[in-house]
Amino acid sequence: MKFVGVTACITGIAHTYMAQAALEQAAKKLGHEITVETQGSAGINPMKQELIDAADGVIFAVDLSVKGRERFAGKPYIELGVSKVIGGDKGVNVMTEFIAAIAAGTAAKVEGNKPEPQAPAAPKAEKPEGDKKKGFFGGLFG
Amino acid sequence: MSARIKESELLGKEVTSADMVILGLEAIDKADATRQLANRLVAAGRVTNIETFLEAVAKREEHFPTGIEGGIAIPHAQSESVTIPSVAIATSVAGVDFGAEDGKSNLIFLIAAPANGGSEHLEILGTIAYKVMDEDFRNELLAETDPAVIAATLTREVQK
Repeated sequence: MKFVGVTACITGIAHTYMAQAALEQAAKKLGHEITVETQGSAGINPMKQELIDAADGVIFAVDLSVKGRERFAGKPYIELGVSKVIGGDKGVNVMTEFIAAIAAGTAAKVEGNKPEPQAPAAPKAEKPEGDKKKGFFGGLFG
Repeated sequence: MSARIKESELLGKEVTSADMVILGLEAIDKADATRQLANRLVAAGRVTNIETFLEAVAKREEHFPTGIEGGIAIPHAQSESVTIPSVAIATSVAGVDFGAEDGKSNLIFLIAAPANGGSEHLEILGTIAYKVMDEDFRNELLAETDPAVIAATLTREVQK
């Protein structure tokens, strides 16, 4: 399965990145894929919307509110504090339970509607997007 | 862009060095352990006011202890007293209680982030936190008896 995740902690110094490592390790161990966006004090490098769109589920390991949460609208998700995925088999257990919830159709879905990019009339149209890596957050984090 | 230049100048400094490594730390509690490590940061000219810095670390610990399953602890703080992003490391055979669920921590990383650090600074520290989750890396550090090698191992990781 394919997952995306967001990690964020209070100081944005350490746990954000430890949770990222924990989720990546868990995915590897279980034979899945995950891309994690760290929302730490070093800034945010927003992941490509295509990754989110292709994901089977979203894991928010956060002590703060997720920035750009609407990007994940409609996706099955689980949300918990960073400490719940760091250490021992925590990450693996969280992911295992989440997968079971997705399979059972009981996983909650991220609320709201995904903001449509410029051309709502042309879904999946090949937009000349270029390398707008920082598109979503503008130049907030240079 | 002068801030940028200044930042890259600071980046020339390694995040740690042999004098910021304590082998076989003996501490009565986490406050003691943190102070001993912070003293090394002060001696290395990386923290200007130890009390301010320790207060920030303690406040962070109050929010949620930084001991993590697997014998690790990563006390940390962002503070105006920090001049250069730095990490002081201690190994402890007896271990120190940092509130981890499975007992004491034998490998302690005290992470010091400047209050006005640019994102590149903080990325370096984030890289260390990320790497700490790698068990092989931790075992490599724990097995080492030369502070210079420990410092070099850590520095190598952040400069990859």
